[in-house]
Amino acid sequence: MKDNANYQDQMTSENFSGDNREVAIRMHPQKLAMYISMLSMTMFFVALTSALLFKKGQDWFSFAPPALFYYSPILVVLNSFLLHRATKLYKSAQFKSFRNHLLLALLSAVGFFIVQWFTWKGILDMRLDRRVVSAAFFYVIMLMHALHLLGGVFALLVVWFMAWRSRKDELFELRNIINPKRVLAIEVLTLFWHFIDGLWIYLFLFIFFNYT
Amino acid sequence: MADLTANPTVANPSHEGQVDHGHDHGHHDDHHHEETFLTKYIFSMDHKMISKQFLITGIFWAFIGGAMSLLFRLQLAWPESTFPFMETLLGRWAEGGQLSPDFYYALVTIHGTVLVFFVLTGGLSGTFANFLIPLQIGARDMASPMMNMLSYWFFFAASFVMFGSLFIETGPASGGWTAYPPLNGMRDVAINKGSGLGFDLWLTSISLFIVSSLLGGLNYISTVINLRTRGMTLSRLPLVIWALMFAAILGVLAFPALLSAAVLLEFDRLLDTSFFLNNIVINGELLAYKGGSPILYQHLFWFLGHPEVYIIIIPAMGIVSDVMSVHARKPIFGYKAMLISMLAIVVIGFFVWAHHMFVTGMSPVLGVVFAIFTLLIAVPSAIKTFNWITTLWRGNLRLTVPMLFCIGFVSLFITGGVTGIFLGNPAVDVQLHDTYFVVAHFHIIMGVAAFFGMWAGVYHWFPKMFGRHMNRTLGYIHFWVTIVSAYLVFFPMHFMTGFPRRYWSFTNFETFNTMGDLQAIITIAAFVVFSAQILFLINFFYSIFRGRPVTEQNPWGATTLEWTTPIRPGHGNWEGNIPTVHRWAYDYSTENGDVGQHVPMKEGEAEH
Repeated sequence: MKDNANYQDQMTSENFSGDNREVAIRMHPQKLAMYISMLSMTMFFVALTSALLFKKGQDWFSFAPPALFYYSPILVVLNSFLLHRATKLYKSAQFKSFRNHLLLALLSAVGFFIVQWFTWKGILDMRLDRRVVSAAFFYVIMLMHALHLLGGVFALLVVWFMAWRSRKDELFELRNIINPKRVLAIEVLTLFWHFIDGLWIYLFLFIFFNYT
Repeated sequence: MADLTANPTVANPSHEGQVDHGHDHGHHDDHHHEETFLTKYIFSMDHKMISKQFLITGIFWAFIGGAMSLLFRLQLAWPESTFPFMETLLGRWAEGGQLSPDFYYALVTIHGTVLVFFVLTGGLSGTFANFLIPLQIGARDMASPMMNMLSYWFFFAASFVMFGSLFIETGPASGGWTAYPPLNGMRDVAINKGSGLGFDLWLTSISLFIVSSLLGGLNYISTVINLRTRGMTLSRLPLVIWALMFAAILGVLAFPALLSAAVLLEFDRLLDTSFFLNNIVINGELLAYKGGSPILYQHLFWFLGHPEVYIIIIPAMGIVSDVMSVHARKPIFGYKAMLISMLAIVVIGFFVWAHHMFVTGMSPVLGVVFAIFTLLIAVPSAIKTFNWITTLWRGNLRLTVPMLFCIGFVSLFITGGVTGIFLGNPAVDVQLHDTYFVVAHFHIIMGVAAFFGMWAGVYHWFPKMFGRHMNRTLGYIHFWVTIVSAYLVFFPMHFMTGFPRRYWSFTNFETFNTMGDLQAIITIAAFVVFSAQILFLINFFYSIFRGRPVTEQNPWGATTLEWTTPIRPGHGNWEGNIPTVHRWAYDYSTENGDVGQHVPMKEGEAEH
């Protein structure tokens, strides 16, 4: 497996060595794959929200989500801002600040989870029958978004842990700066977080206009 | 590997037909890295090995699905007879040698599921996208070989779960491959045995399969867009690469809708929500489900379900276009028209899903909108058919086995396509819905035709896959027996227009009790088709190990890049530099001979 991995690295560097390729979109293919997977995830949530609209057109029971729900967008905006800054800090070799921003982004994501959890609990306390379709949609949309978020938290943890582990080796980090693979990992991670943060803004507005 | 030097543009690094990546020596060394059995054959990241894994898994499922159809065809042909071997094989599912209705439905369900998803999607796209994309665009591997490997292993996991579901006590899913609620929306095995654990496993398997398709699709698209060798502009891509990319785009955009349907359905089943269930009465008792809509499920399902037809057939179209051009020794007729037609099919394919739902009580106005889009698809389909025929017209035809399968594909595509025009009209469809006419239509156009595309590809690229030839005589027998008996199976079904599909037996209905002989003929023909596939299987596996070795680098005289690699290419495909591309993939002519894509333009030659 190790050989295969090395081989892959070599092929990847060959694939992007200058102008040897006919490139329709000048972007690392793994970054492009992330953009395409974002399209795919968008389709998943479009399908879910379209299903909700279909059902709403037939009959619908509206209810107001708990007050805490309205704070969730603040946390995702903060998260996106922190990761955006973190990427810039890494590229300008400000590693300590970079690590701190990653940690704060991680905390904001955890904070978002807590808000979602209590929102969910708040709806459960309303004692709506699980067969009330509007409540069921609320649960499913939040759960599916949370599952995507969980993947992001895991990736964020990995990147933060790697940055934290190399905190005392300045040379290592300087090498990393010019290592496009590391920059790519951070950029793809940030891209994914921007997406799930933006996705939540869409879902938040969607819920706001369809439930209240 | 010495044969590589026979190609001057590959052997000489200073030649203008080369891409100097600056890593060539490293590559050369790397070809000799130690690989274990596990890394080479099981957890391989080489796109070629992954493609073979997809192909062999697909073949496995084709035989399982095909054998299932033989069992239920026996029941349909001789509903009153008993077959003791069935009891031996299936135990209590065929007590006294007669297939039980429960298991009949399970067989029909799993047959449809595995043929559509595991064989004609995983087995077809998975095989040829993995094999051809890097080789034909001039890349060493996929954009992410790791993701590629995961794509196969998710497919394997999906297969494992589905196969496991055949052996559980309540039996596999039996509510149809479309998995409509309310039948499949409740776990009550008293209503339908297959609605229990069997259906949970079905949903799990399909969800794993969707993940596999998405991982594969992302890789295919990003590889085609970003990893083409120098000179391989989009307008020089072989049509099969376009086709595989279009199929991947369809999958990436449509499979998530099916995933959302699967999630909501599982919520209904496990957590008693009511997304798709409403006012269900069982044994006189009104169940508590309220407010759901089974029609909503159908919308979500068919939003994938119809593009799925194109996910299956477009790669077959691409394979046929390229293989036909090679064996007709003629450029494909109307390259751009072919391309635009495929694009049109992809785009329009997203707006036709509800033509599967004309009988759900939808507004006739809406029905007409979907009918118009459905009939519109006939235009690009007809253009493609016209172009295949004109590619054959006055070509220097070599009636090789892959070429015969291409011609067979065109015949089947026309036969199956014409009946699609009938079914696209709501007024006609209402009469024909869920009858054997529909079974005939979709089996011919997306079942048998897609198989023909797949076989054309397998026979054509087998020498590149395994470095050996398949046996030609067995190939010819495979083709002729298959095309004649496949037509014998499905063509008569067009005349069974009033016959409802999915009936275990027609003997209780005087109206439908008139075509017993025809049912018997169809079943006999089905057995003949299956026996031809056994020949194919023997030929395939025998040839992998004992077939005639390939001695020429380019045995078919094709122009595409995969034939510039060594006879048995290693991981990385080209030993030296990756060739630069100078022309399109269809330079076959009687005047100038056949010119590979890597051969530089002559002075005064028109750029293409």
